[in-house]
Order: sequence, then structure tokens, then C-alpha cells
Amino acid sequence: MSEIKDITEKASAEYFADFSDAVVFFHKELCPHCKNMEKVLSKFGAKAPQVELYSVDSEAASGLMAELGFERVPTLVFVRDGKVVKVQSGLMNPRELKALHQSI
Amino acid sequence: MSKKEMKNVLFIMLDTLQFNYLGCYGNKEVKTPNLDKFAENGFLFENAYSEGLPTIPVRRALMTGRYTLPYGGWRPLTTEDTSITDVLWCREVQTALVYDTPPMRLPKYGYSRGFDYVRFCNGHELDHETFSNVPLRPEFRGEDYLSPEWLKKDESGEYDESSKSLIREAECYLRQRQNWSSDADNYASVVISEADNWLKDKRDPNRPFFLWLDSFDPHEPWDPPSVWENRPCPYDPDYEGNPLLLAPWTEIDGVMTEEECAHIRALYAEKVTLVDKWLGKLFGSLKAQGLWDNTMVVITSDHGQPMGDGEHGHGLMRKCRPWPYEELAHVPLLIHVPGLKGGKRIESFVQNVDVTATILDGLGLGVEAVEETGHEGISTYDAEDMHGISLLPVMRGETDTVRDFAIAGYYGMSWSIIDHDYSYIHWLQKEIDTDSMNKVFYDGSGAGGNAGAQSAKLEMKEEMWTCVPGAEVSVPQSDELYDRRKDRFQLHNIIDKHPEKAKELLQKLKLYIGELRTT
Repeated sequence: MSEIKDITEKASAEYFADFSDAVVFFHKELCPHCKNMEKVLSKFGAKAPQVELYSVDSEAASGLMAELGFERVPTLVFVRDGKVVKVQSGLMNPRELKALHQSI
Repeated sequence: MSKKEMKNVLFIMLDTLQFNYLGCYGNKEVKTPNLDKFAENGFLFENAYSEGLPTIPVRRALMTGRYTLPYGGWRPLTTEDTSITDVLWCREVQTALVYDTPPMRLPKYGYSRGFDYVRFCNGHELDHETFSNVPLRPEFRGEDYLSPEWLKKDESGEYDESSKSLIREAECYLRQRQNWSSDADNYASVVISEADNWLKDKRDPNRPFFLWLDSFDPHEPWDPPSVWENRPCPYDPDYEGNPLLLAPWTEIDGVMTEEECAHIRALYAEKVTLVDKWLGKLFGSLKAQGLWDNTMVVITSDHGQPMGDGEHGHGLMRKCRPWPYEELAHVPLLIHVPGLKGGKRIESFVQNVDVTATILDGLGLGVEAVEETGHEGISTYDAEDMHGISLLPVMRGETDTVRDFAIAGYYGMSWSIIDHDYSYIHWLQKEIDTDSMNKVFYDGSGAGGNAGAQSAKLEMKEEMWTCVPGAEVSVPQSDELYDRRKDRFQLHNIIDKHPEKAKELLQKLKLYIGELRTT
């Protein structure tokens, strides 16, 4: 199972360039929905161990979020071959996340 | 008694049975001797709540064991929903659905899916048009069974459209009633007798069974025996106006009098007594057939009914607003478990999804059975986990608590959280008129429904599931907080006095609904 690695300090579009198949989870400490999405991401990680999972604290990443075009969390940023290919805000269950990941 | 000896499950759904009209829940006036005795010898749940309201979402929660409030409202059962009959497919147990609940019968809705035996009894509300072409004897006139104050004429002396609609519906009931000869012809009597007929004559006595008996009574029309026998209603003997077979869906202010609302409640109470009488006959038959000692019997309802002011309905007549107050969301739940010493009142919060888990447990299966669904390795529907928790352990005394709180509401419109100390309501959409409520929430079901197309438009907005970085949690001004120990029926909003408690409950509610949304 993939661990969710905190990359708040390093996160940038350039840093994502090294990812081949990754999901970056933007969250906020006191957001109840983010707590639930973290569990979903962990379950998804168990089902898809080949996917790299990362997290970013949204309160230290407003510039990057503006660059990627979203302002609400939880948001998942899907990266393939170094490029951001999908940004999805809101909640979903592990089955929906798996289906979304496969559809990209 | 071991699980092996508990062979069968009879699930009895009594639509619109408000908990506080039953003697076993403290009512001193309404006579319900059979249900009271059932509770006395079995298990009574003091704090059972339906979550997604009303009729159809409750059936979906019961069929799937999954909460509906975070997912969808008044819509069909889809292939993504794994129902209890899907789980019971290709197992030893035989399944039957005997019902007269028309919203479940809407063909495209699929709520009879998978039962081995299905018997629908015609005529109840929404199915009344089935009899619209039966000649009506002249002594029966719809106007005589409605309040003249509700019927309005236009300048040409014709009734307006809503008056015509009420009269037409009343006359559809009269076309049936004119041929009734005793209370054995009432809807509840017929559907309960049909269920008994299946038990006696149609089932395979060598296989265990799961029978779902779904009675739309005591739902309106308010047509208990006194109406047809031309005698005073026993619970309102001095009332002198027309019998009130139906009432408009409306806020009562300026439309209905307190006397009319009180009479409707009395007729409703008389229907509750009638349902109790016929359940008594069914319990007697179960005992005579030797089924009482190997059949778990679960009795519940989907919701109550707003029927007036204050605790009777917060100013509403019928479910014309998405208001999940106590009189609607709190339901009775009574269970007979063969071999278990009953007479126990259980205080823990429980929800309707727990009934599904209990039924499966009673049949010797756990909620994990959903993962085995299918036959010879065929995974039926890629089932999602059930949310329900079996109530057998709490009835056996192995635990005291099933849930610390309950939730209730209307999908896309209202969420509430109820614990022993407080109840809290978070409005997503409180202000909506009756026509829009019918069209948007009820999927146009009065016109036969359109298979969830309207409900699907009520998708949760992204804002509901997301936060903005840096923003404080704020409690919307329209939300409501009540002291449940002093004000169970939610009449005195104290949110201004307890902002921290409100914030805490709103967070808890959002966290829990979000957790359900993500599982």
C-alpha cells in the first residue's frame, strides 16, 4: 500500500514533473471533509499500490492552488507522466476514486 | 435460542406510523393493545430514527442497508444498489413481498426487485386512479368527505383545479368504499390478510423465509371504520363537520382550523387502532401456525406525519416541506426475537439501516454477506459495504450502545443530528413551495413519477463537501438547535444561546455525513 507523503514544503508544478502516476491531495487541518477524503485515499492506495500518493496543506499552498485553478479543499490533483491531467474537488468513495483514476 | 433455531424473518413496515400514537411509546388515549403486548414481550427501541426521508429513500435504506441522505433522494433502486434480495439470491431462504404501498410499486422504481413472490394490493393513495372508471353510486359525493372551507369556486361557479383534484381523489376512494362491507375490506386488513395467506398456503414450509409485509396504512386517506359506519370517531366524538378523508398538502395557517387538524389526528388515531387490530390477528395466526418460536418479527415505520401546529407538525399538514422534525423522523421499532427474553426498552440510538443488518443476522448472515453476493463466483453488483449494524447483540445484552446519535433529513434539502441532549437542524434548502417540493423532491410522483429524473437534479453542490483554506467554521443563521431533554419536539430554538454547541454539532454532522458519503 502506498503511503501518503507530505510534500507541502516542496510542492510545485516543476516538482510534479518527476511523478509518473500520482494523486496529490490538497487538504486543510480543520476540514471535516478532508479527514474523510484522507481515509478514502488510503483505501484507494491499498487497491492501487502502483499509484504514488502525496499530500499538501492548502493553507501553505495558495499560490500553487491558484496556478492549478481551484480554491476549495479537499481537492485531488492527478498527475500522469509529469503533467497535471485532472483536478477534482469534493468527496467521493474509494470505488468512485478508482473509476475516476482509471478513466484518465 | 441459537441462531440455527431462529429460522425465519417477518419484517412489517407500517407506513406513516408515528411513534407517539402507540401505547407502548406512552400514548394514553390511542388503543393499540396488540402492539403494546408485542412490545411488552419483545424489544422496544426508544430512539429509532429514519435517516433519508420520506417513503422511497427509507425503502432504499432498508433494502440496501446503506444510508441514503448523502447519496440521493426519491429515486429508483439502480443496479448500483445491492438489495437484501440480491444478497439472498441463491441461498436457502425464500423471499416474499406483500404490499399495498404505491410509491414502491411505481414500475420503473424497481422496489419489488428480486423477491420470489410479489403480491401488490391495489387502491391506496397514488394507486387510487386504478378505480377511477368504476361507477359511483349517487349517495357518495367527494365534497361530503372534505371540508367545504377547502373547496374554492372560481367566478363561473366551477371548482378550481386544486379543489377538483381533491374531490377526484376522494371519489376514487369512494368508488372502492361503496362496495366494502366490514373493516376486513380496509387496506391494512387486506394486505395483512394477504401476507397471512402466503404464510399459510403459498410458501414452502421446508425452507426458511423472509417476508416483507409493507402496509401503506395508517397513511391517509383517513378512512377508519367510523367514517363508513356513520358513527362518531371514537377519538373525537363531538366533532360535527364532514368526515375528512383527505386534506391538502399545505401550511395550515389561513387554510385549516385547529378543530379540523384535531379531527384529522383523531381519524388517524382510529386508523392506528385498526392496524393494531389486524396485526393482532396476524400474531395469533403466526402462533397457530407454530411460527412464533422460530420467526423474528420486526415492526417499524418510515416516518410520522405533520398534522397541525406545534408538536403535531410545526404548522404543516402532510409532508409538503423538507422539515425533518421529531414528529416525522422519529419512528417506532419493535422486535420479537424467538428464544430471547424480552420486555426490554433500549435507549441507544438506532437507524433504519440497522434493521437490514438485523434481518440478515436473523437469517444467519452477517452484513459481510454482501461481499459474497452472487452465485458460483459471479459477483452480482460489485456491492458496496452496508452501513447497518445488527441489533441482535444489543437485544442479547452483549452491548448497551449501537449508535451515540442519529441523523435525519431530506436529500439536498435538510440535515439533522439528534443525540440525547440536543437536536440540530442544518438547512440546505428550507424555503420551497408545495408545487416545487412535489416536482423537485418527489419526482413528480403524483403523476406516476419519472424514474428519478427530477431527484437527480438535486445533486449535492461541491461547496457542500469542501472548505476554503483559512476560513473559520461558521454556523448559518438559519440553522436550529434544540434542548432535546426539555424540548423533544423542537419548538424553542436555542441556537443564539449556545453558539459553541451549535458549531460542535454542525462539525460532527458534516463529518459523519461526509464519512458516509465516502464509504
